[in-house]
Amino acid sequence: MNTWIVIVAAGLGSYLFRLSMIILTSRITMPPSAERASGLVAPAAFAALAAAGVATACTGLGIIQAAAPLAAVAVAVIAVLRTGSPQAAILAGMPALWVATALLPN
Amino acid sequence: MNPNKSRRLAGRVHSGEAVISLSADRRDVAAGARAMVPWLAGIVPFGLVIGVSAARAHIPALAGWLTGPLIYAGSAQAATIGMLGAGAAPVVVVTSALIVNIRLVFYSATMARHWRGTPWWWRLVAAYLIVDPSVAVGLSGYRRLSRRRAHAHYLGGAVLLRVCWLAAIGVGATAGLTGRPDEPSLSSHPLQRTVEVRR
Repeated sequence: MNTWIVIVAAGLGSYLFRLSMIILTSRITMPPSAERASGLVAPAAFAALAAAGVATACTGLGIIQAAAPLAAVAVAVIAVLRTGSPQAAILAGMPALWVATALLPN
Repeated sequence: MNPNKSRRLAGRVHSGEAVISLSADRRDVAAGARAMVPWLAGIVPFGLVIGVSAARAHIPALAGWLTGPLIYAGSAQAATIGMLGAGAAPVVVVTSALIVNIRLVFYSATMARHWRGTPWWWRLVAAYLIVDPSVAVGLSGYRRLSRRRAHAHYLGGAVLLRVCWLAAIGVGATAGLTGRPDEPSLSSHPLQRTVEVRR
């Protein structure tokens, strides 16, 4: 029973997080500076997630083993810079990761 | 369908314009879904891993799958399943999942300005679909398209993501229950290394 309660509680809390600012901003007027800053939240969050993921992937690896995820990140960044499309990061980065992982020694 | 009825079903923003019409905006819905497709290359394997781990953890497989529709965030789901399987205290599990998901508040702030003035049902549904890839795809639409077309674009991508995510977890859970494949474990996924689970 505890398992179900925990999952429902975590789900409810997560949904309230999703709804929180949507409800709040419908009731209060945000200052222009906050409005402008809200547009930067997603890029900042994505960059933080990506950096944390790369750091975690490289933790405990030697330089050669860490080259695979780092090379994939470099390919993804170049792809986005050249195309302007966020999807390019995945379309270029994922194959780069697979190829680099296959080619580099364990 | 009678376009007037379609507009009534779709709801209206304060200007009187329908927030979305699935028939009129189907191209933008499809465009949003297409924009989501590249994201699935990374998301579907993660969903499979979560499904397998849910099946192998010491919790009911259905409960593990339910983290998909209820929590709907891979890293929080992984943490929840791992900690429940390890017998962690309920309060600790819920708190950890919410801490991992605190970024959803920021995503909510990002999307709120695009949904100001929309009907309450749209905000409830659209909020339910907020997660990293749907926000990314949605924002790309809100930057380029008119508001109504961008709503459709967001919906198309977010619904495709939701369906594929839940399907991947279901397939993974089924595989985890029925067979013993070379086991992809949560610990092999980079995101899981942020959560230490002791078994």
